[in-house]
Amino acid sequence: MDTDDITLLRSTMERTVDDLPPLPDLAPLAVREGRGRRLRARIAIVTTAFGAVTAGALGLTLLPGSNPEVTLPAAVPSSPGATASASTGPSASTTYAPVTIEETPGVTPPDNPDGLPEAERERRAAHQQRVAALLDELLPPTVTEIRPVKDKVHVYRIASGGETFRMTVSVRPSDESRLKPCVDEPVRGFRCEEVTFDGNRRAHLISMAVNSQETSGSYLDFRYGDSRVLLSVDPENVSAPVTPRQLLAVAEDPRFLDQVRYADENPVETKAPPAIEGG
Amino acid sequence: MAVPTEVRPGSPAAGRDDVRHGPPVDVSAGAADGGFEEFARAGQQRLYRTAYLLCGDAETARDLTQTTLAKLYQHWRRAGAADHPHAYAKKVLTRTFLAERRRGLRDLLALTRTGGMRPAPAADHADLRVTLLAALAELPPRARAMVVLRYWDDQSVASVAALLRCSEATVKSQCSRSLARLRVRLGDTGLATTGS
Repeated sequence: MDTDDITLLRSTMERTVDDLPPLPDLAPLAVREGRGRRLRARIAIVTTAFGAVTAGALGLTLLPGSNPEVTLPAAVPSSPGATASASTGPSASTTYAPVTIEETPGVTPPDNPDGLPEAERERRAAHQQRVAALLDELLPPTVTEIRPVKDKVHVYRIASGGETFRMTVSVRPSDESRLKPCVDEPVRGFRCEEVTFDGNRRAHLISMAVNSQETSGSYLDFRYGDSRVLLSVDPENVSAPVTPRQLLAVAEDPRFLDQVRYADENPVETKAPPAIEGG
Repeated sequence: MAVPTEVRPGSPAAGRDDVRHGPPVDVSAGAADGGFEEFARAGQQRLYRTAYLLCGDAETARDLTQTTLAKLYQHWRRAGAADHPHAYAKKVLTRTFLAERRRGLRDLLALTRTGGMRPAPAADHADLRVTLLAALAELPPRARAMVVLRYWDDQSVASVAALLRCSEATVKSQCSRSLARLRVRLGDTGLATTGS
């Protein structure tokens, strides 16, 4: 390509970008996202320096809940439907198609198995897509892919180390206003640690052997408003690639809590049936 | 993704960026967060334009721009104190783009929005945009970044090589090959001779 060709290429590029509309003001959103990045970086440094146990104690002092600024509404940066003005849950005008996959590869599920109106399906899919975008940002980099599962609003498939895992992010209306006792039974492969975040919100970090004693899943359980919130990653051939504390790091993010609040106020799942007391 | 730790003073990218896209922004007050929002507001559109040429999709470009700004905020002490913050921002943008391409998620999201990596066909004068974006989309991400940085951002070969952590010879050969492909693609549609 000679100079004339390069000049023409530049001219073509100029004309191409001239068609772009002006952006909304991204600065406030960038500040919020940047604050979260700083916070997580600090926590990561603390974790590296002092080890997991000490970091747990120190990390709690750095949680977003202790920072009054994090109560600001925040948008999901990588969500296709997010705009500068859409600061919390999905807006009614969100119509983008979510990235979805079938729960079982190769098995086409029935379309709209719950018989939901189209608008409700779209609303749930938008919520799921926003959660997926947040997970993409907030889970550790070893998780290389996050995909919402079609028509399963709380289910995602994540990939790490060449394996795929089932992850859930459930915000389900529940009559249970309290967490159950945190019982730690390491002999049976069941570890439970109670922590607080977001001010004084209690949560259980659970690591549990599933399928075998060698493979464990990670779980985070807490209450928000009238809902029970559960984040989980089940093991496959190997243990879950995300620890309970890494799930907590997701839940600590103010944008994630905004999305939880949205789902609590505008449920995307049906109410859990009453628990059956054990005999 | 690691954020660059330095911007070479007087880099061609920095200087030309300001010349090509608007006046420089005073970020001298940026000891901590000061000046960031002004910088972001003044620079977001030019970052967005570069992101658009890299991504070929407006929504993805917007996401990339916002992620870049967030990373700049995260390291604003260093970024704001750089001699050429806009060049620093461009470096963060490009490396973020390449990192995300490696992860593949942006591609996935773009696919759902556009029905494919190539922009949807359009009519009239938009043909020009569509053809260029489609031609760029056919290039591998690193080659695309080289073309955009070299010919849109007007950066020197040395600057592009430093940014992409490769040799100058690689930049030259990749750009040469990419331009040949673009010439064929654009020439096929007659744009190279009709553009003005």
